[in-house]
Amino acid sequence: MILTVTLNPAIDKFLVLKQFAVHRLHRLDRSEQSTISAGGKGVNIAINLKKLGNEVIATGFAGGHSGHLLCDEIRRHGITTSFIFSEGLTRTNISILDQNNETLTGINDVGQNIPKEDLRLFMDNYARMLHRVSLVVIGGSLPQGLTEEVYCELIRMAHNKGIQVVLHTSPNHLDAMLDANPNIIIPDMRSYHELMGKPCDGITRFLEVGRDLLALNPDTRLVVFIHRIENVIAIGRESSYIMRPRQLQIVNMLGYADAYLAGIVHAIRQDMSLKDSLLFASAAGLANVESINKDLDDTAAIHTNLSRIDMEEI
Amino acid sequence: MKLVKDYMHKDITMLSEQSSLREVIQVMKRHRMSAVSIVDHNGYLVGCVTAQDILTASVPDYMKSMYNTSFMANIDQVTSHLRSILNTPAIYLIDKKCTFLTPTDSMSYAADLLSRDRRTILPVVDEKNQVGWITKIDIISMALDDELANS
Repeated sequence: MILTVTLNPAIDKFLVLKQFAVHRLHRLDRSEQSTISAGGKGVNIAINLKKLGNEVIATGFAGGHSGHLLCDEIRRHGITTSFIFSEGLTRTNISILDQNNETLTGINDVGQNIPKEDLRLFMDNYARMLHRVSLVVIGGSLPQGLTEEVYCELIRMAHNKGIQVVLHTSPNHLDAMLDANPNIIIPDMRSYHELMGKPCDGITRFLEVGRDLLALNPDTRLVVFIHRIENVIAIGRESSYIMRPRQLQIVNMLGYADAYLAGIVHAIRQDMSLKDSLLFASAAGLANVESINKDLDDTAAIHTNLSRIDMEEI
Repeated sequence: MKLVKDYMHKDITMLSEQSSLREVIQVMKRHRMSAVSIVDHNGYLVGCVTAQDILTASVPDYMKSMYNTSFMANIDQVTSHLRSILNTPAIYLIDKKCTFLTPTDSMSYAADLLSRDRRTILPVVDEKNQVGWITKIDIISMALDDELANS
């Protein structure tokens, strides 16, 4: 059983428009799409992991009617929910895909403000969940009222039970929690070009910062920079690799990282080697970006994509 | 055979034995559930507190002797008594006779148990861990599923 932690989940409102322009009213026509789904990094990863055949419990904070919508949607995928309902509403994140201009616009809401009392309920619940899971995946941003110390504590609690942790969050939070020692770190670099106070973009920089992360964190065995899909860089203790997909045809980048994360977690759970795990994760990411949907809708595509990933040791 | 695991509501909202009645009511309200599971420090199910259990506890003892007559407690007396016991730990409120289902039980058994025990909701437990709930709504809505399947 895998536990996914999403402290700041969201309802994802996804609009696929022929053309998007600011300062004008857009009425959707039948050829355009408007969907609502459960979102937030950990939740998306949970849904993808379930689609790959894993048993998953999703935890985090939720609130109000949008919180109920969130949990209903998650359960619809066959995932068990164990959310703490707090004050306020689960936020809504809006993504607008403009098909003519091939642009993706996102507006992410701030989220709930979590009081100390609800954080205590969450931590108690998390401690109990650790009795029934064998892997923890933590993803996404923090809601108002919480600091990175919460993430550090979650990682420490899992490690005390001998449970490995995969972490996917932005440098904002990552910098503050470098001593927490997550086992796999996948920094969310979409809006950032620095990590640990250093410039972090491009193959050389990724390698450098990845090695620094491994040197600082004795339990970390893998750091992967995934946001440049044409050059995914994985830095391990013995070897490092670069993965490049061939004939990449991007349809929708939304959800790419979450499909990649689910791919790598699934592969590791299947006892695949590091090389095979990285290939499987890249193939899962590819299956996601080449489909309009946010979640992995065609898991069979992963296997056909495997032969399209060039892998080179660096 | 229709099994509980295929119909259960897969939510595992739970509170500890030391949680107060205040927290139990808060969780019920926010989660829109008529029952909350109470678990020990390992997460093993100890029992459930249902809305009915709380209502029963909310009637002051001196009034219970009149209960079998046509007596109806005044709402102010009920709420003021309830307020006075809001700090009571959940462990004192659990229904010790609470029955439970397992994921591989049949839905026929679930329907029978719910109706025999006059309950609206039952926890589903797998080796001491709660894995979900079955409610009367889950049972009766099967009629709609069957109708869809047969149409």
